[in-house]
Amino acid sequence: MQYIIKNMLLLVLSTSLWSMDVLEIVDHVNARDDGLQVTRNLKMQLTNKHGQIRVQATAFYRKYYGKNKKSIMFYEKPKRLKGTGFLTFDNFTKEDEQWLYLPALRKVRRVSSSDRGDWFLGTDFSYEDIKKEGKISKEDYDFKLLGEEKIDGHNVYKIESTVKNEQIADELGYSKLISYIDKGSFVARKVIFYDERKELLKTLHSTEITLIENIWSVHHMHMQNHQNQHTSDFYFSNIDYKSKVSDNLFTKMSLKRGR
Amino acid sequence: MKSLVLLSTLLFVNLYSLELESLVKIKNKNALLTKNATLQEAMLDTTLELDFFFDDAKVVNINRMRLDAKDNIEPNKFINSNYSHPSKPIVMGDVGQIELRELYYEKTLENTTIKAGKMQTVWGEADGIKLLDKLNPQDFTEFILEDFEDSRIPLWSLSLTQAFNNSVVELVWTPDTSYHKLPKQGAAYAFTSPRIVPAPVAGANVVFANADKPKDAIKDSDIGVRYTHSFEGMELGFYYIYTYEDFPVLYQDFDASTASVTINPSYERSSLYGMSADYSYKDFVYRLEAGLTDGKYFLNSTAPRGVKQSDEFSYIIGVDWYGLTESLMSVQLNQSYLLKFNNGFTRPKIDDTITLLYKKDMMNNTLHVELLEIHNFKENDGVIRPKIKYELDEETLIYTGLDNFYGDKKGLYCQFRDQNRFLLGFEKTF
Repeated sequence: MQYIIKNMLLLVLSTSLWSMDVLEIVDHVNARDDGLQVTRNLKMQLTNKHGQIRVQATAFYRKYYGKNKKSIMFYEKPKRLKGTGFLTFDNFTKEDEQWLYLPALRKVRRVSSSDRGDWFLGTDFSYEDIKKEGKISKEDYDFKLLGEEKIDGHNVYKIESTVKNEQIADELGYSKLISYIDKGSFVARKVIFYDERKELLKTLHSTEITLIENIWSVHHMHMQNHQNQHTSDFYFSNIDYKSKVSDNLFTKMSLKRGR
Repeated sequence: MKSLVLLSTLLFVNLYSLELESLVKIKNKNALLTKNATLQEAMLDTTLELDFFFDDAKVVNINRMRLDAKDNIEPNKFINSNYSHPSKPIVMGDVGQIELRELYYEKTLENTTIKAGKMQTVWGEADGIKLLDKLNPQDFTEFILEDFEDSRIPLWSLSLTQAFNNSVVELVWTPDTSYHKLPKQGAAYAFTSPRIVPAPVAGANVVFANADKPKDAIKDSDIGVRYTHSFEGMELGFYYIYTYEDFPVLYQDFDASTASVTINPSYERSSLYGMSADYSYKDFVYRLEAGLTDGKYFLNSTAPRGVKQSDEFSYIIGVDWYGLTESLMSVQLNQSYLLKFNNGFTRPKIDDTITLLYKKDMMNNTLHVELLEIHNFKENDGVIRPKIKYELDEETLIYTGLDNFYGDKKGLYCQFRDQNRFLLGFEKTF
């Protein structure tokens, strides 16, 4: 009996140690510096199951205001989408706000910001994936450290993130994530996503991770959707954390005016 | 000599920092009437856009050439009398027309933007209905079936926008005296509804006189002011627009000696006091637009000269729901009240229109399905417009759709029931 109690205590103790460790890792991921502001170009290469490729090029700007952040994206290619713009205010204490400018309508349209699980502009990333920029929401998930592995020759923590309830699963379109967090940079080198039915949905593979201005920056993200065989490759270039990003950029006026 | 050197230096500096972007868009539209399977329209619309970028400024030039292989909408009737002289398109006989759509200079300095030239100024966010979007007139050659981007008539204007912390003030001055382009009698989308066209007098000849159109660029110019303020996730807008109504007032003068009625179209001024609001919560976006127009003219069968003034109050309440994946469902209720109503008016005191819009993006944003319905409760008529668009590649889009009018022939929409049509076309950009 003593042996069983002792082992149960050890199990409880070890589990709590694992949980504490995993939360520390998550805290490190979320505390990772991603720059007070950033300017970068994003090329999105979308490939369907027949191998047909579509390429979209955008200019992206983001700036933090305390715990809030504002971002704006302008389409540069293809020409059919040129002028299309997307403005987002990620608010810490209130609802996010989003606006879309479609040149064909000449109107800045207010759009709902609650569609966290919707596909981001036809890619295999969700709006939430884009918004989080590699961070993990502690409000949405419970975490478990599954162990340590090597990805692309780098030591990583293997973490399981399970959504806290069905409503969150429904909103995000995910039930569980398996993330492989780099031990040195705390950037997710690989993430496996499972849908609400707990079936394999997609895999993200981040490569070309370098330090720019002492900030770990991903240059290539490859997202493979296993259910429709569609892939999205995001290539980031001209990443600049130093140049001034004007507050005037994050306005409806600017969205309408273009770059 | 010194000034020549200075000018050349400035030109060189400007040219050196100049960046040019070009865009060519070709749109093809083919329309087949559903009643007898005859071709209503086969057209090719080519747009060339040149954008010149300087440091903090740009010049935008958009030119459009429209060619008709088949035109049963306005055969032999390309008209441009509604335009001011500097805005007139070049008519190429029965074949088509060439138009300078936009040519403007835009410069931004910190919180101030100045824009001058020929341009479109779009206010209001409503779908399929215009309440605050009234600074630019519209081409009604295809009633409201053309995209507003294409049917809106750009005007020579000067716009000044000043941003403050959470507020923006915009001032637009328009010395361009162009008005709605209305189809002539006999054209496919010529207005026949008694709401818009005076009822014929029994036994009398009807003569249409030329419109009395304002011509003075300064005295007859329009002005609009908008103030918007954002707070707590909501945006409020206040508007004042002093303009000539783009529909002419149809004065009717009866001459007993010749037993004839002469219709004398004349443009009259009005003022619009408006407001707008939008707010987003969870899956919903709520929108409101409202406007009070004073002294607007309406047809009135008992009034001298057949028209009578009334103030009009209109509003649009819109709810957009984004709850379904990659979808938008939108409902708008538009009500318009005549505030000085009497029985002679040919339109009801309260006019109710509802719009329903459903949009869904599929196959990673390559397939787009859309359904728009506009329904008028008073006449119980409307139009249903389903459309499917598919992106063949990054720059090529094909589409098919239907424009289906229904209801009572006297209604604003159902007057065009004979023009119900099936559409097929493509758009290519390079």
